[in-house]
Amino acid sequence: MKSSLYAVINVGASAVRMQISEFVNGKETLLEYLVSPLRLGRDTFSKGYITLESLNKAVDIMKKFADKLTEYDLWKNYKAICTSGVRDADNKYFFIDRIKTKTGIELNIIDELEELYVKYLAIKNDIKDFKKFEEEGVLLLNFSSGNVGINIFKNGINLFSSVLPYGSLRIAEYVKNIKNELKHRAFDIYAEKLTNQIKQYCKGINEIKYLIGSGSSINLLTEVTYPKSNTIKKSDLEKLYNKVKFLEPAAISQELKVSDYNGEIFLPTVRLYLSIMNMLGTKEMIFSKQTFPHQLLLYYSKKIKENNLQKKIIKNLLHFGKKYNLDEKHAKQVSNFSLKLFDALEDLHSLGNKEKFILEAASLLHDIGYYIDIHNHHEHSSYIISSFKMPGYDKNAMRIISVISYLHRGKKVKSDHIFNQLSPDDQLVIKKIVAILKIADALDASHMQIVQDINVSVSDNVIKITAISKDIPYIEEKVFNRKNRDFLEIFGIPILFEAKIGYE
Amino acid sequence: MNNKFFNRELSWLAFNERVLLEATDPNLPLLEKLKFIGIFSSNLDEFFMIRVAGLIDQMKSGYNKRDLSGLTPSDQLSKIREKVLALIKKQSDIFSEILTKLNKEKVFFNLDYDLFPIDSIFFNEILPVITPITISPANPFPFIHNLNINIFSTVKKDGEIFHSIIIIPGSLKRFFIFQQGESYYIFLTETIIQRFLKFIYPNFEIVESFLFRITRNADLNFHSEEVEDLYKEIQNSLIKRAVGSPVRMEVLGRFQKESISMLMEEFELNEDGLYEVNEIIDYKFLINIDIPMDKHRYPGIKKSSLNLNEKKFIFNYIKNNDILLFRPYNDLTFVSQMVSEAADDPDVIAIKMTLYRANKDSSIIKSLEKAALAGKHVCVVIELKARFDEEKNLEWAKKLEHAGCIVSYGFVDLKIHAKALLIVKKEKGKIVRYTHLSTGNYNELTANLYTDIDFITSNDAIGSDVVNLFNFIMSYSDPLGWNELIVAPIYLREKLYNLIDNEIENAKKGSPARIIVKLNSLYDEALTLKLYEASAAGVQIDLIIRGICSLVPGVKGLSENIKVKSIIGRFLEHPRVLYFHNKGSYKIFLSTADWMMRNLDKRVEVLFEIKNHKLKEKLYDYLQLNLKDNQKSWILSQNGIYKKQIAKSDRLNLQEEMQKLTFIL
Repeated sequence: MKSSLYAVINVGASAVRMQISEFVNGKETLLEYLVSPLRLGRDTFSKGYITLESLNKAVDIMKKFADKLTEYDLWKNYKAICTSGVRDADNKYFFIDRIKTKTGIELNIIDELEELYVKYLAIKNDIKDFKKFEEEGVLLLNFSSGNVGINIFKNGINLFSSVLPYGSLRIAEYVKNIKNELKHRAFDIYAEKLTNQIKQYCKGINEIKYLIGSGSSINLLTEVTYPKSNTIKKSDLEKLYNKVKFLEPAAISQELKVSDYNGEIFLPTVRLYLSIMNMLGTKEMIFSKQTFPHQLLLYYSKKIKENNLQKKIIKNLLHFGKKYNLDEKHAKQVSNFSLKLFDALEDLHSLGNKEKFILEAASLLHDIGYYIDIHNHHEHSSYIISSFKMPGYDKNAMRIISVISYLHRGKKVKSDHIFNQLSPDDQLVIKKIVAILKIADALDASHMQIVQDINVSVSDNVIKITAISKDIPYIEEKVFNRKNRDFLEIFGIPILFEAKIGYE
Repeated sequence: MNNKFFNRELSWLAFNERVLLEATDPNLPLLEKLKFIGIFSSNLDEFFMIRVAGLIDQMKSGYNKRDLSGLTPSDQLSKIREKVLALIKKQSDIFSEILTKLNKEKVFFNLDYDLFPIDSIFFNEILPVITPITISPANPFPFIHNLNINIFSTVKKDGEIFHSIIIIPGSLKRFFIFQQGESYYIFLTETIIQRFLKFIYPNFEIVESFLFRITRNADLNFHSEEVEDLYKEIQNSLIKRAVGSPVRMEVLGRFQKESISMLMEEFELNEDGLYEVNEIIDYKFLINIDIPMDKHRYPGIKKSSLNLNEKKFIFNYIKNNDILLFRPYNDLTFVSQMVSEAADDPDVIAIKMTLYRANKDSSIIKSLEKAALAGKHVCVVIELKARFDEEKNLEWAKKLEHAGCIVSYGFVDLKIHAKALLIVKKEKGKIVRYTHLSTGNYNELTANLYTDIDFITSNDAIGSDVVNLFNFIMSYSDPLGWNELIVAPIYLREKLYNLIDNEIENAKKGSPARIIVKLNSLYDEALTLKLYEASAAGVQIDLIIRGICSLVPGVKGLSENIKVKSIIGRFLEHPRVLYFHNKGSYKIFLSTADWMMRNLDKRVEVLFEIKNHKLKEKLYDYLQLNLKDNQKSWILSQNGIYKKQIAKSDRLNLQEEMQKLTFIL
């Protein structure tokens, strides 16, 4: 019997939660789930920092959670993370340090996109037919007290991915000083602003029909709508919203028989759901009741992961490139040659799978900067690439790809360039990849795919590229001979060009 | 007076009367009769300290709201006084009667002083520890402790009058027993002192001498906003209890009116607080009289228990079987054994339990200490607010903390009344939970005096709920959803409504509908009304309520389908068991909660269904025995009077029947 225990602690904007699960032969049993209310968001969203009082409360709660880690002997098998309530606070590092000194628990800030990715992966595992929704077009709405996370998918492409500061507690804090009777007007505006943002930045939004909800707000919705299956009807939410929209929070909690806190966040929560449903023209929302700690637990204990993630990212990168009028044929050709070179020169570069992915991505996007200007396009490529985001992507890898694009033209690195701040290991990887990318790029220097394919022959003292071309590759050869110096410098072996014209 | 509800205090006094009247049961052994007289006094003291004190507070603060029965606090106080006067008269009459019988059996009280070395007891044991305090401007009136027995004397010398008080120290034994041949002589300390008074006041003429005793307000009040550390707060309150304002003064002996007036003025009491008693000022000592006369004692009870010789037997057993224990007929050592085995078991990672009232030298506490010292995770929730046990509980708390247990004191505003024990084991790498839920405390001594029901299981859904329960009461987490447990103050009341409503609905549809409820007390407006509603709908209801009952049974148009009985016997009936017919597929629940406002709304209590078919049947049979008992049952009539039902034929005594049980598995 294979068994293990894992614990996750999540310091959220409205509560601190902990889950302990046991896995026996892969089957999960929830052992404990703890919730202690702690409205860090109230501090962070209104004052910008966590007050000492809240910090002390957090310490008290975390001490108890530390007891649990001891009870189950989980000090080596836990992950403690904090979301926006801490992430957005000015004194976040002080907070994390105090928790560590007082309780021994090491908190990590989870960045917004990673948070969103965990939620996406977990929902994907939890919701039946998710694949179908992902193909046909779905908006994944993760609505919690601090933020609203939105992912939009269609045909396996992530059309939109963003974490926006419209969480229920945050908005409730923003409108604190508005008269109760008029608060709903403010909620209307926030909701409209959010949907406008989505409409503006997500082109395919009109084709998205499905809505999947998750996050702490789901508990509130199920508490008031008593759904029989895992869908909540828009009409039910509308009825409830209209019933209480002029009431003050205390009256709402009394009317709907929910906690004081839920009474306070009810209107901003439901208003936002309704706006999104209206935007999509859907009459219902599918939801996942999975709690965030549970999702984190599955993720960090590696019980859920995405197959073919790299392939998916490449697909999304290409889609991203298209937004910037990428020369797709050139991009694909360069990528094709890069990978061929990478495989053929394996013994020489001794790079792994991750670097291969980086090379492929950089090959696809290195010229994306043309969209801004032909001059200095490498610089433009670099920052456009660094703006790419999607759930599950590796932030550091994207940074490296951006640096590679910058360097692919062979200009000297500026002294203050990000390259200089990277570790020697990363610098070496970049240099190797840039050397290969330069060769591959040279092989389609004309952007006309004159070189159709290549053969790579490796001997002890020379590498020979045979370029099978449909015409004489004048430009390619010229650029090749200019750009192959890096290769010699890095790998210590000359690389030579030979054209072979193939006639049909 | 409102005829829909009985008054709580009068109903309680009626209960205490039933306790007293047990002493008149012709079938009861003589020495056991003494115990009931003692228990009556002990109960009454508590009643004055809490209930009467509370009513006086209400009255003094001008709170004049009527209770469910329509009485104001002052109405209630005068009715209480009237009843108490009658009861204490009855008590001394019953005691005299028993005394006559005891004399025949050669047991005597306060006689033949010269026969025994009483003088040496007085001079060697008593005199050195007592100090008479003569009241004068230089010696102001001494502080008189709650429930302490004191001697007031007026003495005279050279024509001058002095008032003097002897506070009999609590450290002195209350009585001394001498054996002479087959005879036993019992002497009360206060009468010995009175007899030797002239040696205490030599050269004085003793004008008068009488005993008095003060009862003080002893309710602990916590102000939740001010309480930072419950432990400290309880300690402060204990000091306060000693100095709570006087609510009753009992006097015994010949006294001068002026002396009484002086005392009443001193204690700020009026006539209503004065109780003149006969013979004996405080009968509580009768509980502790231990004379080796087996024929005048209850026969011993043969407890059935499991064969526990085999190591790790308990957990293996529980793993495959749910267990129901009926105390005291089954041995509570099963539970002590469970904890002790857990303490030794290397696979056990955690032990958690609630301690409401634990006994001195509790083996459970020793096992918990041992487990903590062995590095196990031991959590103990000690309810410091367990009335009159606060001081004891503070001792456990410290002791367990020193051993490394995590000790939690519960909530400031919620008393924890749930009784739960959770043992977490790692068996072959997998977490397994063993739980024990009970209607009674983990107290090995009271386990012999109270009847209770224990449920032990390895069911994971229950285990998981008990984990949540502990997380809730130890403030590790907000209460979450429950699967098997229904927990007050959040869901329990609503669940009871639902269960009753279900019967009402069935009755309305013409299906048989029936409720049997066994409780200690029912005093709750909403639930009483709900039961009336059920009665009106045709639900047949049997209530077996030992103590307070606000419901008026058998009233046409209101409660004609409701019967109420109270069983008072050798053991204090303590389980709460609920039965609902549920269209034939009946449901049976055990609970720690009485149906009272304080229990359902201000305490953490649990209710849980017994689903195991075999155990359900046992509980059903148990309830039937309760209903069939015709030896110890008192039937409540609509005028509030309880009448004892003693059948001459087909006798059935619940507690005797239960002793015939073997270990119930």
